[in-house]
Amino acid sequence: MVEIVISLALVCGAVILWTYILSVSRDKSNTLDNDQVFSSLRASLLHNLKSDMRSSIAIKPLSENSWEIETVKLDDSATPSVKKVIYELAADGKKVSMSVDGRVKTYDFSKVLDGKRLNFKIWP
Amino acid sequence: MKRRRGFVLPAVLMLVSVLLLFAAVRHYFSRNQLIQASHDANYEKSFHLAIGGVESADNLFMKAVAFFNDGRPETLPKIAKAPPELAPILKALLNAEGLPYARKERIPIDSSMFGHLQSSWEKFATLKVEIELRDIEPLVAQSPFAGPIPDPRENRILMMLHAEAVVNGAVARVCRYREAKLVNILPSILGKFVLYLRQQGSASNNSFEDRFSRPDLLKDTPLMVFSGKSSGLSSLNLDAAAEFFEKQGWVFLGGDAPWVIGSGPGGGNANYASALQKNDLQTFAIQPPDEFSSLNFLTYYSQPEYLSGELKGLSYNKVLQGINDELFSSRIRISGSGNKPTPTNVVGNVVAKSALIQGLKNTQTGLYAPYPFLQESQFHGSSWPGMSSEAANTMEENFGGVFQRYKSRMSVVLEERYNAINLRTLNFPAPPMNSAIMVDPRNLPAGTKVPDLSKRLHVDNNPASFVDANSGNLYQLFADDGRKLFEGNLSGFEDLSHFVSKAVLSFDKQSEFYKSIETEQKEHLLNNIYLIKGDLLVDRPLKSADGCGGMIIANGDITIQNEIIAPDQEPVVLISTAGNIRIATSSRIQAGLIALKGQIQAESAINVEGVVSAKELSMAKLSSSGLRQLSYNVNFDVTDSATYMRAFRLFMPKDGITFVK
Repeated sequence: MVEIVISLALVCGAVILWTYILSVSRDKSNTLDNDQVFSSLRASLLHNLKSDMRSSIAIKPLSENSWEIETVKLDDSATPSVKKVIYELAADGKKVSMSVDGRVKTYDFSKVLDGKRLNFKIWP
Repeated sequence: MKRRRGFVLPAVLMLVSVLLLFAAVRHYFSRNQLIQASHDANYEKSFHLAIGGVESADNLFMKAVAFFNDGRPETLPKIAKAPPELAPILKALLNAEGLPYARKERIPIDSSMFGHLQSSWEKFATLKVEIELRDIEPLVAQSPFAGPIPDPRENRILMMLHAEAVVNGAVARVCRYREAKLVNILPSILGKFVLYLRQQGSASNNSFEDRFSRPDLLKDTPLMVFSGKSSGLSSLNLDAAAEFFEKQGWVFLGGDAPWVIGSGPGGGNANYASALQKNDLQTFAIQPPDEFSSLNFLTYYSQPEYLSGELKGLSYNKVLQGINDELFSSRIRISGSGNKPTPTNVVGNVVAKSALIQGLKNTQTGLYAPYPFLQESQFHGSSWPGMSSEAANTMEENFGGVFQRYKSRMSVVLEERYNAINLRTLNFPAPPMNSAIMVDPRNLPAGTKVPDLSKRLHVDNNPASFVDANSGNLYQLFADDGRKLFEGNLSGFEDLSHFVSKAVLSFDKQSEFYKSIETEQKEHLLNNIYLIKGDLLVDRPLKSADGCGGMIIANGDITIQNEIIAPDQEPVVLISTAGNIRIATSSRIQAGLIALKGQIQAESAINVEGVVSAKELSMAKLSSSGLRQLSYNVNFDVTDSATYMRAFRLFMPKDGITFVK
């Protein structure tokens, strides 16, 4: 009987603690999701940036927040050709855009930065 | 019944612990993040494995290219003679002709280095390296105009090395490429001619005041042109003669006015004397109706002789005093020298000029009475140069007062088609050819066998003769494998833009050029085709080594003040597309010199081993102490297909461009 009572007490305590942790966890869940999104965006941006830099023949800053990378890519006929890729950090410091041949891809970190700014720079 | 106690509590404790652990992990980590991090790490590994594959393949590739570019005959055929480590890549690169060629598929490259690289990485890593060659365009477009015919094998080629590495499922693809040029470093048909001059200069070529002795008294030094193999008088076997002449470095002397090549004695020095000058005396019995026919101790004689002003002087009985022209000889001695004759095929309107001393010989006393050159009016007078009036009258009586009979026995200056002197090199077995002094190739004795016609040169659609004039309006040159190299008028050939198309490295200033060819040992090594957009001053030694060779093309003037040293099999060519080439050094110049729109100016003694091609040749007067020498390098012979194939080079930038796919 004593054992059952102690077990019940422990279970109750565990359920209360679990409920508390879950509530705290749910509270932090948004942060966790944000981290995940940030991480995913960052990984994608870095993958492209690394590829472009590893394929580059020239890198030059266009302004304080934008850089032009002359990078080699295969064109439609599978022939290497030089493309100019421009990376630009938005003025609010929350987006990075990558443009090549008029096509623009934007990495939007605005929802995952909690008011902070990106520290994005390319050193040629 | 035994009571079961203590079971529920441990079970609950364990459950609670697990729940708390999950909650904690849930709190701090994301599974996706772990996967992403792992994939990123694997990708980095595969990228570096792929880079390693490209680097090691590139190292092999560049060694293979260096081996391909080595022009030494002992490296041929390339695939058979390749070092074992290069054989697979050369098999992938070269076709049956031994030249790199494009194809649709990529060729896998195998190397022990790849296995080593893979084993150094993860267990589950793979590496694949392939090479791809793709034609971009021919270097020189086919032209509708007459001139050199481009070789379609000279090409711009895209050389690509592909590497694909996989580490734990992460794939990285890397490519390195270079734009290469497959070029032939021989100077097109100009390489066939040891000397190629489109026209005569303003000063007459035949203006050398030569002497029979005392070379120290000469006021100038001729340019001695050696055309290849040496062969003296009556030494060439008839059956082998055509092949001999086909392989020599030919001479082209262009323009409308005939070139007169006077034969000179070089001051009595055989190094400077004209080649193939017969000098042996022949006697002929005097036949009736000449009066002296009754005197059996008298004979007529004939003796070919060099040209010299001394033949007008007293020491030679003023025998040619009646000749109005100066007895000058040529400042350019084609066919070699007296002690090293190199007979060759001379193309263009070219005339050989020499003297024939004739007269009367007394076989009892050994005295000679040369018959002077006379005009008909002089013949009938008594004032013959070098003779007393009594003697002149006696001689006139001998010929019955008939000038035409005297004319055939008097001393004269002879002119003949230049290539006719090649007949003197042939070993004719019997008279009259083996004793002939001068034979007209258009009127040879019946049954006379002469060398076969040329397979490599056609003039006005007819195969050229090696013993007759080869002058016309339409010249066609062929290689020994039948490939046509040129069609047009050689005199009009001046456009060198096809050489510019071959240039791989281009420089605005010569300083940049010198910087690019300077080695760590501070030498200047040529191993490419360079274009300099201006003048070039060669004020330091230039070198070429095995596996090198190449061209320097300058838009402006080229001045050579220092030596250019190159192995025979690694031809070096200096080209001025629009200017002049000035030679101001007596050092060795082992190179071809080309300035078809300008002059080649020999300011000093010169020693060129290669070819010389220009619109005009200009030579400053030079004391006899100097030696001007131009020797043919047979490795320039574009009409020899084996030589031509050896001169293909694959030139490309040292560093390729690497990118991630």
